[in-house]
Amino acid sequence: ADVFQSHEEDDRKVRRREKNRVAAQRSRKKQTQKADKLHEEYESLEQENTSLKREIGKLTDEMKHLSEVLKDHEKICPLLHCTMNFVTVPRPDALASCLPR
Amino acid sequence: VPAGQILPANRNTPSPIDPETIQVPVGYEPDPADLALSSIPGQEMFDPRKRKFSEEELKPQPMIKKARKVFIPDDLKDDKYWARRRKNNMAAKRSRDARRLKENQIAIRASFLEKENSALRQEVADLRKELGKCKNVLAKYEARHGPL
Repeated sequence: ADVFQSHEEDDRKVRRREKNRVAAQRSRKKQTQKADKLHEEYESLEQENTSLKREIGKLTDEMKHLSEVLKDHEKICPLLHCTMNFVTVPRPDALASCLPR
Repeated sequence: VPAGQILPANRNTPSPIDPETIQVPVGYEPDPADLALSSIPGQEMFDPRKRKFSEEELKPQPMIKKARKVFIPDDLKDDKYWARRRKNNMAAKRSRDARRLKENQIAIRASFLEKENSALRQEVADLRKELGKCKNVLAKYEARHGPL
């Protein structure tokens, strides 16, 4: 009777150990999967970050160049500098007054 | 220079813009408890803005082949045995702590990057809009008065 009981106990122990082993394995797997997923997301965020910064650089460069071009043009723009352009339509009486009466 | 081609030919090569130098204001306040879990007491506080993680650090940890458990009867469990056990237990604890710390740091930096990327995307949208307006004005001018 004692031997039977101790066999039973051993059985129980073995079963418990096996259950625990499997549970531990499952838990470790879950942890590594969680970490791998995080690393993947992180890597993609870093790449996006770099590419966005590069684009901002490009766009700012373009803005600077454009404003320089416009600034340079301002200095010589015929619309701004040529006084003739401020007269929209020559007034007929002004012209007429130039003619000898 | 016609409106459609703002950059002259000699600027079509990739310009040396260093993405690292580009900064955008990011209102990011990490939870101090999280920060504490990601910093080593003796060292500088972990800074998610500066700390990048290389590919090397991210790849999955090499599986250490675990030695099979050999049962040791109590009488063989002498001091040397316990000294060895203690040493191994400490090493295992250090390893677990380091791993946990690293994962926390990566999580915080990822969360910071999400915020930063969102701000960066806004910046890109603003710049594009601005650039579009300028080019539009330029195109209208050039349509009436020819190239600049």
